[in-house]
Amino acid sequence: MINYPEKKHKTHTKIILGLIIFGIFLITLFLLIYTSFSGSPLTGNIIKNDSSNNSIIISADLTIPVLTLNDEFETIIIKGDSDSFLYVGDKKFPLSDSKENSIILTDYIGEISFNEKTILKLEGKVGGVSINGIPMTSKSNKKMKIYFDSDFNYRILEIPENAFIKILNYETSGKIILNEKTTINLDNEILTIEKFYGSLKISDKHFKIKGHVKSLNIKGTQKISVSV
Amino acid sequence: MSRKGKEEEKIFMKVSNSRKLYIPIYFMILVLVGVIIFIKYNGLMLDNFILILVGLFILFSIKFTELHRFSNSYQINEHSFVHNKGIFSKKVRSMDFLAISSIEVEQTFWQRLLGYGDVSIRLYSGETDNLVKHINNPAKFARFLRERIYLKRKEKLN
Repeated sequence: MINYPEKKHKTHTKIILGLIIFGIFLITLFLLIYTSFSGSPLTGNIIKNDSSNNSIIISADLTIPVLTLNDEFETIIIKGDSDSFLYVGDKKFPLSDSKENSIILTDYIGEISFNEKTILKLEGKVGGVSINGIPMTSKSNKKMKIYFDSDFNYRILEIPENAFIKILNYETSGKIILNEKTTINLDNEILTIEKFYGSLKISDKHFKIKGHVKSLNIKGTQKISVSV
Repeated sequence: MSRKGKEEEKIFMKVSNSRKLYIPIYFMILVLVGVIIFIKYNGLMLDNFILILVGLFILFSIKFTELHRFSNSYQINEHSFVHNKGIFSKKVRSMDFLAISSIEVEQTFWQRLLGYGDVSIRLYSGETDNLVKHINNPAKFARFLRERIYLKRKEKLN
């Protein structure tokens, strides 16, 4: 026979369970709204602070990887030509009119992915944007939605500061300088960089980074592993 | 009747908790999904860790509600009313139709509005419990149970 516990006890347990579920919901909702509207990623910030204090100084000139960055950037400079359109807020800018478009994004939050020749995706929110010298800011001081409608053929892509790469793993050639004294030359070797934080510039088929890394691994004719 | 015989009895009606009971939880899930859609639509930043947290909340909420729902099931079979309780450990309470003295349908204002409620079953021994809890259309369930009891009594008299 089923023993039915006292009603009072049952109600008390139900209330506690309900409060726990509602509490978890409120915490999740708060974190979701806070990280999105403040623009500061919960995990990203912790990692960034850690990498600049306790890390290896790196300067590298390598071949261009296929990379996706999803973060907050103070400035992004893009130069190139394309038949695509750039959408900023409710405005649409044709980029086919000029052979050399210069786009400068400030206070950008969102995704940017690229390969050797093209920006495959740029989608996010921007505080201000300058298109071929014409500045544009939001009237309401709110960030504006920005995206390319198709691939953009870039010649220069630069993030002068605060570029964060969680992990970069690809076969590459070039030169790496660690802690401003050790030089490593790569020739089609597999490079793995973890938690890079610094500046990034892509121009003339060169991928140049300067900043700090948590660890670096090279596999190929030479085997090097450095970490802090 | 032997236990085996009882298990082979024909089941006329089987119900479990109504999903309407979990409307507050579904509403929380809806709010979280809505906020994610809003963030995506407006190109705001979506932290992967938070996204995983939301996913886990949704997954566990649905899992919890479904487990809770199936932890209680109620059957009306040929000769008795049966309450199955538990998932991993199981308890079965069977009440013969002839032992049931009265049936009550209980619905709060919100339960009436949403069309679910409880059915109280009182036995001749004086024992009563809100046995059948949070089921859809409790009046229909109670009516069917009364009909089965009436038929059983008629059969017994004949």
